[in-house]
Amino acid sequence: MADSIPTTAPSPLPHPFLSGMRDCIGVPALGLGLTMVGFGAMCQDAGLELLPAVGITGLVWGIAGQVALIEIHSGGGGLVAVFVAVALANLRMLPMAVTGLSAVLGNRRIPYLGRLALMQAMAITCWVQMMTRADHVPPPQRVTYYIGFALTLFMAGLIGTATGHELGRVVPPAVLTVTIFMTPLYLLLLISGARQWINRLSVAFGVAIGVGLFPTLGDWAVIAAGLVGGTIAFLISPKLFPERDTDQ
Amino acid sequence: MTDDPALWSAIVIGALGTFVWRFLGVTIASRVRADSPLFVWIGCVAYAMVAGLMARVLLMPGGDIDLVSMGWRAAAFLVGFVTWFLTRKSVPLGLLGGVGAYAGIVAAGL
Repeated sequence: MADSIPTTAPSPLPHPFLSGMRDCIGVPALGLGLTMVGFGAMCQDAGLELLPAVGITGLVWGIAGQVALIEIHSGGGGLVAVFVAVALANLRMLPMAVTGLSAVLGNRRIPYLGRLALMQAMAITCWVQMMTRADHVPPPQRVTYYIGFALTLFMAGLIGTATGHELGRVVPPAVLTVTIFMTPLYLLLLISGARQWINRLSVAFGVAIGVGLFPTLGDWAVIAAGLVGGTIAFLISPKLFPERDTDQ
Repeated sequence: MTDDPALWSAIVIGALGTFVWRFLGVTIASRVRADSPLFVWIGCVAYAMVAGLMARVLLMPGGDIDLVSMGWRAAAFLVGFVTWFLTRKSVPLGLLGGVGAYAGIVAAGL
């Protein structure tokens, strides 16, 4: 699927919103929901009540930043420290929003606030879906499809957080660790199958640098992975694959 | 603690800490052509950043879900990746292989 370049336009979906919902129900929503069960339990441990716990998921909507928020706040860090830590942990939203918006909109033009609202719902799972698994959605239906997908994921996140907070560790740790393993593996496989070689190389360098530098750099390793790994892939890919990526 | 103003201030500030990137992303998107080298580079950075974070979470998740050592996590990941590659990049089969291997490792108490 990831290798084939669609030669004909996909046929219109009868219900793009429902298709987005349906494509989210399954591994994407289950994986994210259970990740948020873990986050909800973490909030409970930190002494947060239900509303703030769900509020963090709903308002921040980016797990790395949410965890950073709890850690800094529980550790007595001030607002500046919270802002810096969350921004650092969720910096990936910047390149994801630039490229994700293009994948959602295509050539469609919608008002600025609308675009902002679409990107407020952006998450890694949505981004990967739109970049690698939305070939079957005709460009004019992509906004509706994306909203169906993103809203379903958002609901799964809120429900997961509330469940984790209220029921704590009702999910046995062994089950939780297996289900939480599923999401990053799923997303890594999808992006490893990116259609263009330049992006597959980016994934390979990102993995190597992100893992290799994490012990020394901590959260900065993800940023280094993106900037250094992405730039290396950008520079060497045209030399390695001079004809492969010219189709787009 | 629902009425804890310090907590809610931190939540609003934390939300802003993520919103600032979404806002900048939307702003940059309207100024960069989708067929320009700059856009391609931003895409590379996004792929590499997401990959780096996912690999780190997979291998070194931290916290109390960290029941399994990094070596065994890497082994389960390799099973999944190789399965995916050998099955003509079938994501369901790769996922089944990797998660299955990982579940086996957890069940065996390794």
